Amino acid sequence: MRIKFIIGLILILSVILQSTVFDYLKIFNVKPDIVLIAVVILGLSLKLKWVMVFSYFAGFLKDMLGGLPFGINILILPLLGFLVFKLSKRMEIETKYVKTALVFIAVISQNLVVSLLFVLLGLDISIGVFFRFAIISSIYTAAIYFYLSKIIRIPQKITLF
Amino acid sequence: MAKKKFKKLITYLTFFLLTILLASLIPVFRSSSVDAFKYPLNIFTWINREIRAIIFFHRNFTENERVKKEISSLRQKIFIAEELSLENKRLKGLLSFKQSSPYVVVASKVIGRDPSNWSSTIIIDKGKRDGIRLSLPVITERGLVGKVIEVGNSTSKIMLITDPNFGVSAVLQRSRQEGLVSGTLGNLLIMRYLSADTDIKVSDAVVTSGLSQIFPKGIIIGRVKEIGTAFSGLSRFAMIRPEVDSSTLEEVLVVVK
Repeated sequence: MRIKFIIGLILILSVILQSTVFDYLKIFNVKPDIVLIAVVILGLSLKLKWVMVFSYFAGFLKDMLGGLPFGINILILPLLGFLVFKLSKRMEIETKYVKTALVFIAVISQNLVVSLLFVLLGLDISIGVFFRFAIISSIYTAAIYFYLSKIIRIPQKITLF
Repeated sequence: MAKKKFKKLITYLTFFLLTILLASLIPVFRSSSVDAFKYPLNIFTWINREIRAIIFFHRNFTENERVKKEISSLRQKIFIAEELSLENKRLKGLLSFKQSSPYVVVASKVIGRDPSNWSSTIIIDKGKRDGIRLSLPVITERGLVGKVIEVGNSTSKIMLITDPNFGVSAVLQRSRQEGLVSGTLGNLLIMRYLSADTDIKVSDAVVTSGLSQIFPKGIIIGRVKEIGTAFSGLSRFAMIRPEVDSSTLEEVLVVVK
């Protein structure tokens, strides 16, 4: 119960940091997505049920503070959590580099889905803005994950019971 | 005897003249001789310093610690003073605008920003309790900021003009040509639906037209940076540099009346 509570707190903290501190760490007007990093780590470490629970929670928190037309994150984050979990069952994701690549792909996928939804909603997004968001935010987030995994020990498996 | 005296005199005179000569030559040799002494002097000065450092090590060490603490405390104080001075400057600007403005406004602080890259919103520390309602325009003394899209009891969410979902009817201040300004997620805004023969120039001011129910007439949005023609060729568009830099917003005014 305590670990679940701590994970919940970490997610709340990461959304708050994302909305405050990370806004001052923008590069080319793009900030890293630490909530997504948290979801990827959870996808690699928890059982599917808890991956989904915490991914929904993270998506919910992000949508609460965000201004996107509808709950896009509550759709995307559980989907990404699910895919990361399934991928971790099919192949060995052990090294830091593979995990960093996974974070990179997850951010690119998230940006692709959001931009596609924008197009469907009839909102114009220039190619330059799309590439800036897709590429720079992916590299930035992956770099943050890489250095984070160097500084703190990220657990391979988290036992909730 | 006289010869001996004369010889003595000559000797004294020679010494005297030699002294005068040497004294007059000293400035000539001084720089080169000092240069020659540079390295030995340095070595001895260094030895002297090191010996003093060893002798007074403890005293210097404690003094250094004390000075370091003092510097860190002073730095902190300077930082706080600078922050207060900047805040004071900003609030003075807002206050003078609030007093001279024809609108009834509620001043509020920005307490959070959008966690995602794909939308531009901010969260402010005023809500229903302070008279904030949905769709109210938000401004600063420099120009339009956005509109209220969500209201809580003590907080509200503002959609910034840089958000692609944002749209406001606007006119070019000089030629009174109308268009629709919306965000691009980048640093610029786009003004669409300008007729093909629009009288528009770079640096023209763009202000709200007052056609919509939400935004009062004449609030400055930005200035024209680039002009282009739409893909269809039927209309023109302009890229607008907003007057308000939304990335550095710390205080805003919500127009309640």
